[in-house]
Amino acid sequence: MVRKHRFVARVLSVALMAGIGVLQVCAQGTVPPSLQGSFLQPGYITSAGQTSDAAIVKVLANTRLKLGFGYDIAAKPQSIAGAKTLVLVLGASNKGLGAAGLSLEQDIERVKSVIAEAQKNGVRIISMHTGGTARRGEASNQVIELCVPVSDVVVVVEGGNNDGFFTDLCEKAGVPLVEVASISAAGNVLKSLMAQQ
Amino acid sequence: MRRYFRCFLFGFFLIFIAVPTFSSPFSGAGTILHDVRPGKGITRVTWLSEWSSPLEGTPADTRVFIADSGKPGATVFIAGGTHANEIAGILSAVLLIENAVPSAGRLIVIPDMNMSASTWTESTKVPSWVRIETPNGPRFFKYGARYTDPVHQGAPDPDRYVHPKGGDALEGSEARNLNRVYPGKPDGTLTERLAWALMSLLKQEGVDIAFDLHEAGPESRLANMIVANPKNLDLAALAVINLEMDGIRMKLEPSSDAFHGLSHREWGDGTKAYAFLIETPNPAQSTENGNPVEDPQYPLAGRIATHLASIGAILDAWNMDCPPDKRIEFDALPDWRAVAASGAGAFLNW
Ligand SMILES: [Zn+2]
Repeated sequence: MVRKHRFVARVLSVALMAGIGVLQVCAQGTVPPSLQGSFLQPGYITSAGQTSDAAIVKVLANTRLKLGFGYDIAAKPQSIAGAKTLVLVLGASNKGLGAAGLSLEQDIERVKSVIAEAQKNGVRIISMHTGGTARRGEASNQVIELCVPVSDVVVVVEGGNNDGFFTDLCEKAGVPLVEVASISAAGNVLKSLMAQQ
Repeated sequence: MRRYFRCFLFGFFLIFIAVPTFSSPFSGAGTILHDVRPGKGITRVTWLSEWSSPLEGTPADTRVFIADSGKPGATVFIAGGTHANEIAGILSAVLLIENAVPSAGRLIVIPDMNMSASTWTESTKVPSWVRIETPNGPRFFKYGARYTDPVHQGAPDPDRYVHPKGGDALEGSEARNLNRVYPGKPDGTLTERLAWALMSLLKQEGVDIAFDLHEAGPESRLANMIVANPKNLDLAALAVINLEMDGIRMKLEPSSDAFHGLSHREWGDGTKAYAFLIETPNPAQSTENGNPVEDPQYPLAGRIATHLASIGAILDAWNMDCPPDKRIEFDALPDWRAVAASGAGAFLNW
């Protein structure tokens, strides 16, 4: 019963958004047809802000979905050599930064250099935020603001966009935003974005 | 006649009260025999001092419950009561002792890891005993303190506590926080001896997977989190994804490189065990008036269910990837959904 209400609410809100022209925001979990299967292998995953959510996305992509992506939570520009798709997992974590021996500023510089390398080589970028409200805040917002505008698509798990932060950024930058209800749904989106081999 | 009686009374006092009380501060007289009623899976009950004799006879020696399937498999260790006020961890361990029957591998459970901490209570507001209704009448569980009792520690608190491996200088009382002193020492403070004894158990028993069950205030960053040693972060990540599909949202963090003395860090670094710490939200840890059992938003049964589900998800992830002779399997295990629905009492023995 509750589900039915939520479904109706979702349909209504999507219709409303479409009505007011916010076409970039996709209905829950649906990937715009133009993007489906449009990202090429090999893919490479790194974090932006050293969140351990990067490890979750890696396990999702490689253990669950067998996508065989490369992974380094603190990848450098040379790490993504040969990659055609870069997955940035967004979220600043003090524990993660400490473990990597990096300050937030240093990690932002690292991410900038990886993005520059990707742009130089025509690598397309998927940004993912899976940590919900726990991975939002001043520090996380800095990496989100850095990564969203350079992304080809942004995938956010429920809770992470409660304040519409991603909606605003994506609208301004003209980047499609896919909101999903769960981490495993984010995995399905990731899979549908990737070209079939 | 009266004089004889007085002599008798004095003798009685000397032998049965004064001598045991004052002769040795580590007589063990200060501890509690917790109400744990092992189920049919338990094949042996012993004391932690079996693995490290300096713990013997101290108020920190604690019972160890072993459920051995007699068949090859993983050895899994579970600790509740590292912090004796984190009651969902203690009850989760008790539920496993009273219900779990392994069919491959071995389960070793210590439900009251810091016995000295369970002898006292820091707050005046929370109950010192928690009452759980069961179909066979009420059962009572001690709601203890976070720290080793200063009377038992054998050394005054330092001005600031710094772990021997370095790191930040913490409050002096943290020297009595079991989860800051691993790996401990055999000749250290009582808390360090306790930590050392557990490290000895993990090594000598060849523990493959180890869990430390905790709670934190609901507003804490730690609430509903799995902390994993970096070497077993992926296993925890897979568990987090699977738990989410079951409607349980857990955060994930790796152990910090700079913060020493924590179980997930030192168990994982110092032994071959994959080390995990699980945290649930305990309302009594954020406000003086919080109810540790019957909070409508964070009921005890729901928190126990989260612990049991997290343990189950991590063991499932382990089984997916381990050699065939290293699986851990159960004929019986308390079902977390049933615990959440019917309460812990339904799973406590006569
Ligand atoms: Zn704790």
